[in-house]
Amino acid sequence: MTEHIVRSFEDELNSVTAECARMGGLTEAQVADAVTAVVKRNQDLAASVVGRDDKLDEAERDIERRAIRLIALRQPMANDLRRTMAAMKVANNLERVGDLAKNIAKRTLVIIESEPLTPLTRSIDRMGKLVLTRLTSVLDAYTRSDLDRALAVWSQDDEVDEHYNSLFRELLTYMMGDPRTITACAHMLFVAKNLERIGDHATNIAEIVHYEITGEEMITARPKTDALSV
Amino acid sequence: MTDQVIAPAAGRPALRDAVKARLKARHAQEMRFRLYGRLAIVLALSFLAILLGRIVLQGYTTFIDYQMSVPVYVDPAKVDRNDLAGANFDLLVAEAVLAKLGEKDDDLGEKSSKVMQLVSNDLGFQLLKQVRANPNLIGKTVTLKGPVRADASLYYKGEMKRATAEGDRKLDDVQLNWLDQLRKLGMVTSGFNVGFLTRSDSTEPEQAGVLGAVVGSALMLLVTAALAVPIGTLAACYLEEFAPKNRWTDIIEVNINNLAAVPSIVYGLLGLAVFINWLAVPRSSPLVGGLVMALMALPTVIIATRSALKAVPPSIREAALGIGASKTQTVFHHVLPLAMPGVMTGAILSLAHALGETAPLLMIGMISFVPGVPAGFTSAATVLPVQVFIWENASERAFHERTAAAIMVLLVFMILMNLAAIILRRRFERRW
Amino acid sequence: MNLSSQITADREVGAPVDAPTKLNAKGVNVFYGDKQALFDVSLDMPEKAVTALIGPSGCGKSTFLRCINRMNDTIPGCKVSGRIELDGEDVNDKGLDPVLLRARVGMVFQKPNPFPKSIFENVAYGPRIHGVAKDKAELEHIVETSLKRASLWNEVSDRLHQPGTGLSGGQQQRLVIARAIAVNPEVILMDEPCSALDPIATAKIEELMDELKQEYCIVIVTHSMAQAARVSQKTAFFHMGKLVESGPTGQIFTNPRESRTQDYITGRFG
Repeated sequence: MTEHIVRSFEDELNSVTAECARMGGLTEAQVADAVTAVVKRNQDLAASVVGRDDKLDEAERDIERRAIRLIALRQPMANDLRRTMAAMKVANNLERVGDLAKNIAKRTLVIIESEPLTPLTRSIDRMGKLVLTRLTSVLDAYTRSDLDRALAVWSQDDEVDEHYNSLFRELLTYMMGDPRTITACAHMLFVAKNLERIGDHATNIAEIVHYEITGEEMITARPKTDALSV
Repeated sequence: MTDQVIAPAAGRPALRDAVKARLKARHAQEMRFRLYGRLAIVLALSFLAILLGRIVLQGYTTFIDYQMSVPVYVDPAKVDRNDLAGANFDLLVAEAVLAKLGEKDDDLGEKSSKVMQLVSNDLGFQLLKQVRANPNLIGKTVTLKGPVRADASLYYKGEMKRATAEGDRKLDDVQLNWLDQLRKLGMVTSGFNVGFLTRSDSTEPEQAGVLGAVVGSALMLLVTAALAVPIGTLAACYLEEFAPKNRWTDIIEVNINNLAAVPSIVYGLLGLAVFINWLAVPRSSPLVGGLVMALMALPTVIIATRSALKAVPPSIREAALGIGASKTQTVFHHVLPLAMPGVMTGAILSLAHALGETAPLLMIGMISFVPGVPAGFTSAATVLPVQVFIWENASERAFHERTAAAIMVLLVFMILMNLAAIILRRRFERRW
Repeated sequence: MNLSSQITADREVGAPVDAPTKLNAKGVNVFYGDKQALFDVSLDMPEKAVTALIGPSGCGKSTFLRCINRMNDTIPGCKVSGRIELDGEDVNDKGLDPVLLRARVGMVFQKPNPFPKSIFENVAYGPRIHGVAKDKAELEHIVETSLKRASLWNEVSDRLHQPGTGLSGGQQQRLVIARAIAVNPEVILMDEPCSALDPIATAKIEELMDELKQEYCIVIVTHSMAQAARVSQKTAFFHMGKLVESGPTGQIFTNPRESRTQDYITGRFG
């Protein structure tokens, strides 16, 4: 695509997208560390995840400011407009993901005080890795404007759901079996839910990427496997 | 995305110095040019002053005339009621003057004929007219007032001097003494020469006036205006707005421009051949003069009108056409009214030009001596410039001052017409 | 319903994209002497809506506009081929009088050009020459209505007999619009009507366009894409004498189909 005639416009557009990509990197790190902290029962790591969340909030505000400035001063049209809106929405989603990662880290601090539940921890690990892969993949698709990769992430939303459903059943079984584990299991449940929400946000980002590239919203409903229907 | 680098700030002082160095020479050049302009204007104005001054100095004396008033006894012995024309009224007037001078006429009548050289025969005509109108005046005394003769007025104005030898003058010493006496008696008074403006041409200089020529010029201009302005304006409208732009119209335009430069005497020849010989228009009438002048003025009017039409911005035409006006409506409702100032200026200037033309009018015979005011468009007439020409060629000295006076009248006319052009232009000027 | 058609539908208040066509151009070619200015242009312009023609300088949009009311006839050496239909009748038909056509298709130009007459005379001229008004009272009524419709009545009602050229630029343009609508046209063509005006005058004209589009078919040529985006329901993009793309305004400005359109709209080439 040819460059914009006014170079500063081009630079401003690029900087918004670049900031978003940078925020994506930060978020990935947050999610990875949060999952590691839960699995390895690492108190320090969990604490640092909680502390770093401010940076993500700051990044989101910054991106929003830049986007609004761009719209007011440059009146972007067509694909430029979609790009600007996409950056804002992606930042929004990433901030929510960051909050969810912080929540996981907070709960980790509580879980550590109880006895380790190794099989559950392994399930969480598997789910966490899957979610992280999806997040990394979709952010990659965003940075590279790769439509196919985004659609791939989008269509595999049900994989996360399956993990969540089985974790849910596992935890129920545990809680019913040994009432002393209820506290830890309850927190674990929330951790699992958070991971599932992160997966949903990844799917959101995939839809945003699709809109930015094609200019059309996704028509079909995303594939969902609802635990409640079990 | 500029490819070249803008001159660095380091180069600026050098640039400034270069500009400063040239500055003095440039200012000097400008001052010199202004000086030349002013000199040219001063030169032109001084020439104008000299020219006008000469004319005015030569002619202003025309407007002072000397009138004599004398009571004349209408002797019933000399005037027969039934044959008024047979009476010698001039003699009666002369005798009355002699009586006032304290002299009597001798047997040969030499004294009275000398007096008749001093008094205009206009007084005799006046008396005849009065007695004709009222025969009861016979036997009574009538006071008449009329101009002195041209030579006498020349003496009064100081142009005829006693110092000149008697044989070289028109009037002898006796007559000069009488003139002085009449002046002392208060019978001769000076005043503004209204007669110059109210009378027509005459063989006697003191009775000659410009009225006939003025009326002749006016009639001729009327004919010129009535023909040249409408035809010229409409022709220009057609050529500018409606005619297709091709080679033929180019040729027409070139020819019209050339016609404006044709020597005016050629138009006179044309008028003689076509109007007088072929179409049998009465010779030396304002009608034929107007026709010839109209032909002369036409190219100028067309050129001026075309310029004025060209100056109307195309946005006006587009606006009119856009709203559904036809081409004709566009031109006559919008374009022409806006071009009016230019059209009027062109028309009036060409008419002013026509007023001063002499050569073609000489060709068509407007040089004849016409004693009265022309009755209509087809009667013989003369025009102001030709009148000037006639008087300049006359032998009598007194006509010389009248020539200059007639030129002054002509100039006044020109100035008035130009003023009219300016005023009309101001009135019609619109801003778009 | 996908996002772009949602955007499109919201824009089309009062005139959905599938409104009946008022003007229909088919295969229009225009030559100035030997130079071809328009190449095979075909475009529908719906009624009771504003159609905007955008494109870089010299792309032929003004030429196309002037074909609609045959103003190109006044340019010597200009040849127009193809069909332009107003309600199904070809405007270039020999039997159709251009004077009559221009009473049905009014035009507003880039630089306001009121006649150097009074405000009243400006508006009354059209009805007068077309013989629309029966008497003086009716003429005055027409003038008043037109000035009201052009949102100018309140500002000039007390000085109708003062010259039209004494008004400000924005007022002059509205006067010109009143003049155009006084003859009750069906279509109003506007050739960059706001390019000589300040932003507030421009906004007033745009508001006027919004009102006028409820009754007339309006076609506007504009250099400002923002203006085209603001006022029109349908946009056509011209480039080098060809019609590149046309469609609902919302769609053109959020998701155009042609890359050339996108490049022009986003400012990647001019």
